[in-house]
Amino acid sequence: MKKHILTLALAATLLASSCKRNNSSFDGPSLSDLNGQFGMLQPFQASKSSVDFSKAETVGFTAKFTKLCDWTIRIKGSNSGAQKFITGKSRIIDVSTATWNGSTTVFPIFKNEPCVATLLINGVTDTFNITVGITGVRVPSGFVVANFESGMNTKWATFIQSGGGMDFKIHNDQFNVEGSNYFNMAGTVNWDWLIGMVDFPASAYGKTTYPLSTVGEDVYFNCLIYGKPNTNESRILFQFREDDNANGKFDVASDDQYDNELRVTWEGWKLVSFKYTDLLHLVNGVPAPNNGNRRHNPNSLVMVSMLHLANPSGGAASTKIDCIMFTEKGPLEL
Amino acid sequence: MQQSMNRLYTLSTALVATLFANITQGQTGPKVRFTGGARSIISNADIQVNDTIPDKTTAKKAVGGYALVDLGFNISPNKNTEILGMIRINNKYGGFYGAGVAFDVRQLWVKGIIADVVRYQLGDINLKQTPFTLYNHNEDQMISQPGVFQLQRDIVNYETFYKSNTWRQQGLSLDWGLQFNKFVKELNVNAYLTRMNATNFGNIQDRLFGGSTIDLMQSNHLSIAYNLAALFDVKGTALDTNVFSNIVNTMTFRYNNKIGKLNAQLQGEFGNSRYHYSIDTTAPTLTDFFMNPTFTLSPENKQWEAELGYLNVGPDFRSPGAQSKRVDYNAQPNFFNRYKQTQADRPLNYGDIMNNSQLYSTGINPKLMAYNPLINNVLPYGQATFNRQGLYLKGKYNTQNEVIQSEFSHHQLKEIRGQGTSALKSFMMSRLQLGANLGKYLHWDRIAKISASACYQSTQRTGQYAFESVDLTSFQTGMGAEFEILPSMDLMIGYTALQGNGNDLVSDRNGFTEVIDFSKYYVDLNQTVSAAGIRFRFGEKAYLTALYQQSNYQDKIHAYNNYKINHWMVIYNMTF
Repeated sequence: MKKHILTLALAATLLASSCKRNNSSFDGPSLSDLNGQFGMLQPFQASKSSVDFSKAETVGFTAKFTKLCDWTIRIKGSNSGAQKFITGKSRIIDVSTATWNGSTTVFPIFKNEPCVATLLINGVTDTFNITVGITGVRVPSGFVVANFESGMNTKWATFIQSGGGMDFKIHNDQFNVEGSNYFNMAGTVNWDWLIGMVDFPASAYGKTTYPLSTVGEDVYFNCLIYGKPNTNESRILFQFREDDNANGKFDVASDDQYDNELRVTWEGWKLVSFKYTDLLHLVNGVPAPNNGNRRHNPNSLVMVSMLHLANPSGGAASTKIDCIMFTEKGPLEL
Repeated sequence: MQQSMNRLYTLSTALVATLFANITQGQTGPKVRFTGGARSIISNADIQVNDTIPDKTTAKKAVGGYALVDLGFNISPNKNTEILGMIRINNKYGGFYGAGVAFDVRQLWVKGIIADVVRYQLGDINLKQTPFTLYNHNEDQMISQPGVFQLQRDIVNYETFYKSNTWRQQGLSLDWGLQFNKFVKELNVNAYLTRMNATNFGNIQDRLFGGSTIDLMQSNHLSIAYNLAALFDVKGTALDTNVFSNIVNTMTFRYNNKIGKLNAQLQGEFGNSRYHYSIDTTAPTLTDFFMNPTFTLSPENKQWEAELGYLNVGPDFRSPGAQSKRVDYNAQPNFFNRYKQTQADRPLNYGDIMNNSQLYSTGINPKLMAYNPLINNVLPYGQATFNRQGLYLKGKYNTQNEVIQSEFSHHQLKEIRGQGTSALKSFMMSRLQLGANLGKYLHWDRIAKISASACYQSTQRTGQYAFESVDLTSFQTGMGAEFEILPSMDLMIGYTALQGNGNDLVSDRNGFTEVIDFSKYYVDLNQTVSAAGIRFRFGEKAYLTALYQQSNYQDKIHAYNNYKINHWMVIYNMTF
């Protein structure tokens, strides 16, 4: 009997010495954070009073509370009206949770201007403001297809229907979103869905194919599109034509074409981005098999076409576009 | 060598012989036997609601019922094989020539013996391992119910295949054993593999639940077993390569000997678990351990038994096979599920939990299910409840003629890790059950039984701040009587109540079982269920009963939720 008890005691000792437990002090969020009184332990501050985003500088924000809070930092451009929102849930705001790199949430994008950063805390009526000046705006990186800052490239091909009130022109007015110009696409065409289109061939940039990665997963297509309220819904169809057989041109019968039709259902400017490998080949708006190697090859892209479509029975359609760019490893951040 | 092997090992035929005997016994009779049951219920209920707003949107009466037959074919095509197929024909009252009639397959299994050594079963299997690996705990029934309620409980258990704490699964199980001449007496091995869900070929993999027990009986005094229970996704069965696994490894031991004239037994279980997703970096990997040693004393005649146990189950111990709950508290009652002018969800009452089989799970659940703090806040997931440590004491006492039967238990537990605070909750639960067989006492040859039971629970936490404080108590009582007033005709009455008041902070968990928030739980509730009925027994396996049951739900904090249900039932039930 003693031997058996000794064996069991030995096994129990071995077990106790081999077991480890996570020594967290408690599970879940702190009850003090959820139920305690709100107070500012450290004031809302910015790491610098002026920032040059063109030199890749950033602004960090800091604050410290007595409890866990849902907070929002709203940065608003005094002249442009651009807004940036940074949100979080924490007791401490620091550079790891609140750093601004000059990007925009509500367009137009920021200009060289003074901005007001406001800290809003859920459930707290008080707000906390500081001022940050922009001395250089953020420069987006990527391959620019068209930003219309230097006018229309002569190697771009356009087709514009002969409808009523046709306006396929570069504008510079209060609707500017990035830089000084944008491209307007408006008109009434009551016999066809197509209002007008622009072709952007690779040759317009002195290349045989677009200078993009061979990895379709890495490539993103981006643009800023303006939706106009109370008009016939615009649709923008982007077509991407590849030269899979490397004969210097796109062949319908032996090369791939990918398409994406966007329905402009929003109001104001919106940044639209999509991954190249998410594109499908569409025939009359319906996915269909491609005719080339059926692989997404951004490095074989020879032509990007932009078509403005609208229901012919719907009357006038109007939209604007700017900042058409390819980026790699992630969507465009403006 | 061969001779010594033969001398050392002889194949165990104990288990095999038992099954073999059963099957061959079947061979002496017809090769096809019928088994199953039949039941018919006629039900009439009405609800009375205490609400100041007149209700013009929900019905106040419900009439219904059904008749069903479970017809099973037990086929023995040869001496080593047995097949059961059981179909259910269910006809709701009012159905006619197909309308309202449903045909279902209720059971399907094949079992037999391979090479006179390995016992197997395919299809539906009732599985149970240990309280921490695979075990159907009955943690939502803290007190034994009087016979008048037990009739409905039995129907629930039949519908859900709850039998001896097993879970019904679908898959394969194997058993075999070896007997030895020296050093070790017996080695028994059990293994099973069941399917939890099928793949959708996209983001849901085939999920299996498998396990094994290797039980080594060294002697009549000492045995040790290793248990494995694993819930896991089969990689490659879906495009998503993120696979889930929850592995539980445990050891059980049992040592018994004499201390004076008493039988003493030291037994227990200890082990660990690992909850893991292979790729998802947002998912935690939870590992923890538990231990549950017990010491039991009883006299030779088993008139009484006393058990002292220590429980320590880590806060991150996860075991779906042992922590799945029977009652799904998010399920809807099967009648008056909406009530009042606002068509609010009617809160479940004690009566629903006793007689509504639709509230009960029919299989294990990989996620932690919700629980009712009033019904069981101390061990809501049974003995495998995580984040508990402490002592408990259990006892039994029966008079020699078994006129009086009694059981009691007392748990004094505490959290291991705090919830939202470093202050720990402490738990106390005391239970007492008494039964008296007056028929035996008075030497009647008829049934005359009375019973009473009670369970008191308390949860307390005092912290630095008022918002950390928890003080919740609940009290469950039950009493009843059965008297055979005429031969085979019983009068049954019963009363049960659940009272609770106080406050708790109930942990809200995400899909990975992590605590993400806390829900404030304030309660001052009183629920009672009273029932009376007459039962006519037709032998051991059939009865006809007429029952009246009244459920009363009184919420003193939200008085506008109060209601009362009167329920008449006529039940005919038989098994064959």
